[in-house]
Amino acid sequence: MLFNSIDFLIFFILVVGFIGIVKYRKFQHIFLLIASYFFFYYTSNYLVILLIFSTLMDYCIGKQIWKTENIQNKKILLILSLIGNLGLLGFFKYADFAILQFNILGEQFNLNSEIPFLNLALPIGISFYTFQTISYTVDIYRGKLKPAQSFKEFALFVAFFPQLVAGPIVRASEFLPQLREKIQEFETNGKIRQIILHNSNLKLGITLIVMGFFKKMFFADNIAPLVNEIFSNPYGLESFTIILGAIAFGFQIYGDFSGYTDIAIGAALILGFKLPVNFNKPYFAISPSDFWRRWHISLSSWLRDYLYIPLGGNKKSNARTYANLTIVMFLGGLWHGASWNFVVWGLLHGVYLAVHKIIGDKFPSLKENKFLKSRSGKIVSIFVTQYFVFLAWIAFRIQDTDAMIYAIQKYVFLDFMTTETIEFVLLHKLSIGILGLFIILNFISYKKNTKEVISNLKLRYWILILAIPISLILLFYDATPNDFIYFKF
Amino acid sequence: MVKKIIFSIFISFIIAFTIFLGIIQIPEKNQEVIGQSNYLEIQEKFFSKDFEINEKKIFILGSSYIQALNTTQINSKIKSQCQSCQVYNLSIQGDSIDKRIKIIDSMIAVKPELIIYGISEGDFTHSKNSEFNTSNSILPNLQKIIDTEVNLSQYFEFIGIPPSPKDKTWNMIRQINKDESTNIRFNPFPNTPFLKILKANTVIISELELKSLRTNIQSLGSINEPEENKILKNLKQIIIDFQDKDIKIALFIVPHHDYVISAESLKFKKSFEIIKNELENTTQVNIYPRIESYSEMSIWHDLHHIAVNNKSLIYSDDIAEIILKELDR
Repeated sequence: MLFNSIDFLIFFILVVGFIGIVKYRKFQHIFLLIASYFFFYYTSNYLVILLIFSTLMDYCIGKQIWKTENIQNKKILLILSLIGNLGLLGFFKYADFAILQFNILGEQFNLNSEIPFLNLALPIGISFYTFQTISYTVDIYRGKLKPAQSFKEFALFVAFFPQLVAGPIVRASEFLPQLREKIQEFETNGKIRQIILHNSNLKLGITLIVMGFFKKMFFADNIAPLVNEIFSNPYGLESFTIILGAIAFGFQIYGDFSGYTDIAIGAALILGFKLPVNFNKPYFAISPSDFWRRWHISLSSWLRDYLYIPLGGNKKSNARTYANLTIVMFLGGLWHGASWNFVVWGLLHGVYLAVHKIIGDKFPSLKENKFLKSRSGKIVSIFVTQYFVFLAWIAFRIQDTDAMIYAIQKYVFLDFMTTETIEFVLLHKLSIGILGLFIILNFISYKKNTKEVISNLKLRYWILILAIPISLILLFYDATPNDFIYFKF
Repeated sequence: MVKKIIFSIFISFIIAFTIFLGIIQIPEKNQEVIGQSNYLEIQEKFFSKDFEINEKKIFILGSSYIQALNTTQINSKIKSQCQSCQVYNLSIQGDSIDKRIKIIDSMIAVKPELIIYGISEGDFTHSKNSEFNTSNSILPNLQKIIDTEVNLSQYFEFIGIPPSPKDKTWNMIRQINKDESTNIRFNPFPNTPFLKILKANTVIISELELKSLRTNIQSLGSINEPEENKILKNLKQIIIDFQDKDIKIALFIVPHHDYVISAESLKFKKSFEIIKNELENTTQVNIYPRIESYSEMSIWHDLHHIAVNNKSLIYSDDIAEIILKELDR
């Protein structure tokens, strides 16, 4: 069920209506769980079994890890959970990719046997919910989290429909306490919480949903044709056209993914749940590490806590730290999909982070540099950082390796030709206009949280302000809505 | 307060919906095309007119994909073999099999000699691009059930909302500041009673522009299995109705640029093959394949439509040949 479909709108109104009418708390929670499974089943049919399997497995293992005193046994149980989760993820997401690589290798060595592809359907959301369940068992193993008190609660944490398909990747320590009356960090005690529709949550939630749809359907979907035009066949294009494509894709994916996240956070908020923030003005980042504190925050913090730190983080030698950064980002890239372009994208970001760290280590005085601390210094840092971020987006967008290399070369080594770029811009002035408007709106909202500002308006102004994006959403409604980019991951 | 907020968002939606309806229903200038409201009325009026008694009427049916068929050219080609034949291009923009079935009786009443129906893959689809393939699942496919049973698009159509408001919005934006004369609609050929084209439809676009349109290709959705495909059932019914009255009928696959065809999945192409086989096997109707060489010619108005232009007469010539073959059968 796509968020940007009428099916979801009807489903969500029914769920909220039911939760609002039925006050019996236990029933509310069960209903929410059933609704979440329905949501998943509606789109993914029998693959709901995988979700239930993953939930059952980690619920049982989590309990056992908590009960077991023996450290060795705890470790074995954790490894079981990791094998189960990563095995599922690996099998469904990477099996055909691995077979392809094996077949290519076999061809090189003249082994005249090809392994047939499995052609498995990729279960929607598997990358997200497996990471959630892994964080659950690891946190229990580390003693940071008590297991969920009931299967129902754990199942709701895994399957909660607003974030099931494409995140944000929620930690059990953030979600489980919200199911109980007494909210204490890392605690899941207290009576089951009644779900009440609060004024402020409702208003902010609706604002977030509307703005999310607006970002996706007005901005991202209307910038997409421009991006497709450039990157479907970049050969022969001028440098400035490639740069335009990279910028356009950067904003398309931002509008698409942050739009989705806004809808997810808004929908959860209306139901009384707070999901973690996933984006914080990423294109104002002043360094690669700053970018990853602002872009897909729930993934980058997951990678930090469950991969980078276990690898040793920055506690070992400098060389090990740089290697850790590169390994983590390489795996982060691979997490996005079974394709080499994601690996290249991840590696590029790994190299950025490592090089940034090396520079910081070699020239510690840079941290205190007056120019870099000044306003103009920050602007320069933003431009330099974004130059590299947009370069990496080319790798993310173009699957074909040769085309990717061509586009990256054009991006790095400018040819200063403009004839075809001007022609291209004139041919696509409407899409470029929408891209420009999106960039301007991002600049305007740099200092203020626009969604909060709008939701704090008096009702009569709120009505009028929201009517504008809603009108545009309706005018740009497509009978065959475009999938969210991150639904594929 | 919660009620107030819900009421407010409702009001906001009403305002937005009013703006939306106001904009989306602005008709194109000089538009006299057949719409939802006058679809049957205009056609019935045409079929109730007095045709020449000795005239052998040949009707070409289809949507805008056949608008480039030049009746003058086709008539001149077939006159050598059939002096009394008269070809009518009954193309209706946005036409569908489900709509056309409603007018079949009126069409049969005028006793045409031959019906040539231009169909395409898109006629048999239901659009859901995120649909998960559940063909192997023993569990019911809720999405498909709701799509089939509820079919929201019929309600939208009823209140005048096009299936894809986005397309109309973009067209309207593109029309702004354009030459007024490009909005005038006209009949391009004789015997095209329902066809009102824009001057713009006569323009042949360049390869570069075609290439740029390639990126806007939207998935046509998916094609249901023959036993679940209501549109197929309707088309079969149309064919049988004509055949029962001894009216010859043949189908042809309308041209689409190769960019469109290659963008479709193998599964989609296979599904369409199954539909074609089903039609041929159950009704013995001739289905003429798509002429792929058109993709290499400079005759396109866009990726789906051949331009209504003298340079694209090859399309009419090929249809004339189909007509001659069918008349000989």
